[in-house]
Amino acid sequence: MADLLNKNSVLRKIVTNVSGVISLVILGIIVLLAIFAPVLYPDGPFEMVGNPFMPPFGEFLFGTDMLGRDIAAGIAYGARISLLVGLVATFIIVLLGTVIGGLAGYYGGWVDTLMMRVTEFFQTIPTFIGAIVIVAILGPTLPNVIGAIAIVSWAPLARLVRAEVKKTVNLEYIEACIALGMSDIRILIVQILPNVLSTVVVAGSLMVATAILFESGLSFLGLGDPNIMTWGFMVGAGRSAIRTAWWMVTIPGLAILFTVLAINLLGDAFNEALNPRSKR
Amino acid sequence: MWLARLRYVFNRVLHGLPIIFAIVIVNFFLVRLAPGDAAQVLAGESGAATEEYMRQIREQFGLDQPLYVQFLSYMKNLLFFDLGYSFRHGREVSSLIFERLGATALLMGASMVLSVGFGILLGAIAAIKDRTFLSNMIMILAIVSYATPLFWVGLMLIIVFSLNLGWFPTSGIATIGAPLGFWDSALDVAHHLVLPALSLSFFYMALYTRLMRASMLETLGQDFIKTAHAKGISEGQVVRKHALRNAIMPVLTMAGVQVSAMLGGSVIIESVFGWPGLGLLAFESLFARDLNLLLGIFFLSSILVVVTNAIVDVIYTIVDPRIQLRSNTRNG
Repeated sequence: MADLLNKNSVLRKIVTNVSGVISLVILGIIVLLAIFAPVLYPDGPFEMVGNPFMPPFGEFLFGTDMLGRDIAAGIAYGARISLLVGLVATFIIVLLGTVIGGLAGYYGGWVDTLMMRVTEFFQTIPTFIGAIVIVAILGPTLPNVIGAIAIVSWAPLARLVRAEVKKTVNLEYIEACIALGMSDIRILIVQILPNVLSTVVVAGSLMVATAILFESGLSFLGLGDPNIMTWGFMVGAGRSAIRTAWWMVTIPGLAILFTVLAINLLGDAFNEALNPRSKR
Repeated sequence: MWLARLRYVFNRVLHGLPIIFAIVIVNFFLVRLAPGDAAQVLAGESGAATEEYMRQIREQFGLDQPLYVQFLSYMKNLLFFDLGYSFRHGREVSSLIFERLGATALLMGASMVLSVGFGILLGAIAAIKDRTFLSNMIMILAIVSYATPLFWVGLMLIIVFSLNLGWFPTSGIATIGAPLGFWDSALDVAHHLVLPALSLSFFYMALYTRLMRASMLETLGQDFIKTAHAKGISEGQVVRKHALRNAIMPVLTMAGVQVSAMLGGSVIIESVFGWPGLGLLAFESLFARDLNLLLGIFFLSSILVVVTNAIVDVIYTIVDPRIQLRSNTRNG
């Protein structure tokens, strides 16, 4: 915990890590692209700006799709959605996972049994098919997509948090807190949560990457919001032209690959900085 | 011993029942949670829903009955594996699903063997040759594959190996209209299987490679390996007979857990390659807005996971005799 609060130390460890630097650079570019998308491409990603089927590195950096839309604009606007989905879904997952795992680990007994049964259910169902069903029934809007991803993905994190809480809950200082008459909520938040935090940060950072992959899969299948340009949708739409226009499927896919790769590397760097003993 | 094993299997099956029951409840309420009339949801959004079609649906699902009656009749139908009727296909949902099960099983089986096999091989090499160029290359490959969307791998393989090189077909499970003998048609299916199976195994291979490397490094550092070396056993023997066998267990555990995720992956890969399994059926039902069929696929694939998990647990007790046949190994 001291590590996490002393930001300099964690940051320095990440910056001195080669893959940490690479990932920060890639992510920086993607974040800037997402922020300045409306400045760079004021017409939006759906505007037809040129001839259809223009190859990349000509008049348009990444070429145009079969409707003459600028693929680079789609990449920039898609970055916003990918990052948004990744962050919001992860926030909900972390919230659900920490609360459910924390309560189960702290109280034990029937609370634990009940919550672990629910967790087990969500770990058993095929998560991607579950998300497909939820979005198909509730409708393809961005909040539904984010909610569906979160609902099917929190279970592993809850298990992780529960295990960590169980480890700390039997330590003597927690007994001392109980003896002092501290309330359960105060013990959970002030005493136990800090011990779990580094685990949650590492798992959560990897969760962002998984959520982005998840979202791209859903939009690839046509389950994304039809009014929003996403990378997965671009690949899915470009499929029909795969014989003549390789770039329509290749470039948005590379954008997903680089983003997810950078977040995974950053997560690994976090892990090394926060848990120095578990180097591998 | 066999009696104990039989009892263990029985208990594992019992353990899966509450989960199946929970899936039934979730399926039942999902449709009724949807905005609007459940009949409208089940009929789909396309304008094809005639008044008669809607009445048929209301009748089939008993939507004019009170909720608990609806639920009881739903349960009764599921008990007899009656998943309802797909009006789009004009057939029973259950027969549609069973027809597609084989193709998915083939694809998943092949991908499982590929990903576990290569994962163990590459992970072991990366651990034995730790801190060498070869090991670094393997780990970079693993990190990149771990970040690659499944559908994109599939499309890239199609561009390179089907469209440019022409080595493999772009889609389908067999050449249409080719009257072949048994061996020739098996070869034909295998030829169609290569790209989808490779695509699906790519991500999981990365997962197993990383896991195997970590597990192998840990095993190689343990005392019994030093003892084996001290006894004068050759390096190859130590790796093969002592380290590998122990290091493999976490990978096998993970492979069992990943069956559920792989089913999701097969929806994507089957849609990319037009592989006529459950996943493509799910994709088609999405397009046709055939929600009842989609729910049927969800239900059956969940059962599939419960059953595979039980089978994996049982296989485990055979592979690793140290695991005791306790009925409640999962409650820990």
